[in-house]
Amino acid sequence: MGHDRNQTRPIEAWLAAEQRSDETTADAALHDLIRMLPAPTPPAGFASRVMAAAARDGIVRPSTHRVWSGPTVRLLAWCGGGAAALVGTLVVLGPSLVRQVVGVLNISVQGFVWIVRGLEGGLDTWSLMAEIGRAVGTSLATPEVSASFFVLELVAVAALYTLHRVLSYDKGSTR
Amino acid sequence: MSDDRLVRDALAGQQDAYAGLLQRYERPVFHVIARLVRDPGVAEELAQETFLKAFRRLGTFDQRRGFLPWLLRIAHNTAVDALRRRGPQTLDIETEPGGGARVIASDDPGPDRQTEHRLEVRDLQAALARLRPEYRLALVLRFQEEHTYKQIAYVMGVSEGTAKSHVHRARVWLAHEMQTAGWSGATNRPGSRSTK
Repeated sequence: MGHDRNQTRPIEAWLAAEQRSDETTADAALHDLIRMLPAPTPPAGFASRVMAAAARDGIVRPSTHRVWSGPTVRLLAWCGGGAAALVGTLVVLGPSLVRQVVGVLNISVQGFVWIVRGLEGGLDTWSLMAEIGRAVGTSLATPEVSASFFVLELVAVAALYTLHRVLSYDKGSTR
Repeated sequence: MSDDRLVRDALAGQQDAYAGLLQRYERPVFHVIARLVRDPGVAEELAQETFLKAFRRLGTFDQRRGFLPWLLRIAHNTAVDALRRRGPQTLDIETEPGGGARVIASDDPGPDRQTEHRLEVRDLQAALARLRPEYRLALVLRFQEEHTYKQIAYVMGVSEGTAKSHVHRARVWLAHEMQTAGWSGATNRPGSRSTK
């Protein structure tokens, strides 16, 4: 935007346009003129001071949380934690669970045979159901089975809590 | 990266996204506030307050408006509230640190033209500083920050017609002030400023 001595300068063009009431030319000329003016700029370090104030007010988290702040990283962390908990549970409780399943199958077969024999021997329905109830109650009352149920409940609660956290985070990140 | 993406990331807790928004818009926010208030120190304080308010209300940002107009509206309201508390004041841009005309000539305009240009900038700055704050802001948003009338209206909380009226009145008033200072549209070169 050089200045030729024969070229009309923005201030001349603007004031001449104002005198003629030529709005369009006046607007354009004043635009050219005002663009030349220096705009006030923020002092050095302004952004750092704002970020420090935002951290102090608890608006922005401190930079130590940065590693865990990405949505993908957080999701992966939750999935990894869940998978580790599942594998750990299976490793610790796996053999016990297998034994329990085998035991349940064995009892079922024995129970079926016992029911058939009882029916052939003239046992009535109520007595039969009472015997079955007692047998099931006795098998559940062992410390091993009770502990297994307790641990399974804990795992279920942890899984539900994890799912809730993941879904809440997803909702928040897309707001 | 788009503003919407930065806002989403900031809402998800990413500090870098806040810093990105701040670095992208610190200049226009400071500019708008500094045009409204007199003291550069107060302008910095209000610009900081503007960003903290914006960060707190980030969840209410409406993407259809655009981030900058939304931010400038907060800046405008913050500055106007401060002006109401302190009483009306105008900014004397000539007293700003680092203030001075940009070098706009690519060829050598000669000493006469350089002097003329410095006088032109000085008088225009002085006239701009004497404008009513709302007129000055409308003019700056229109011609320096290059916003549309619709955006200016949103930033200032007025109708589009009022925004146009502000710019028009500011332009006419500024022309009158410049003519009073000795400038004219006549081409009595070199320069068009009559000696006072």
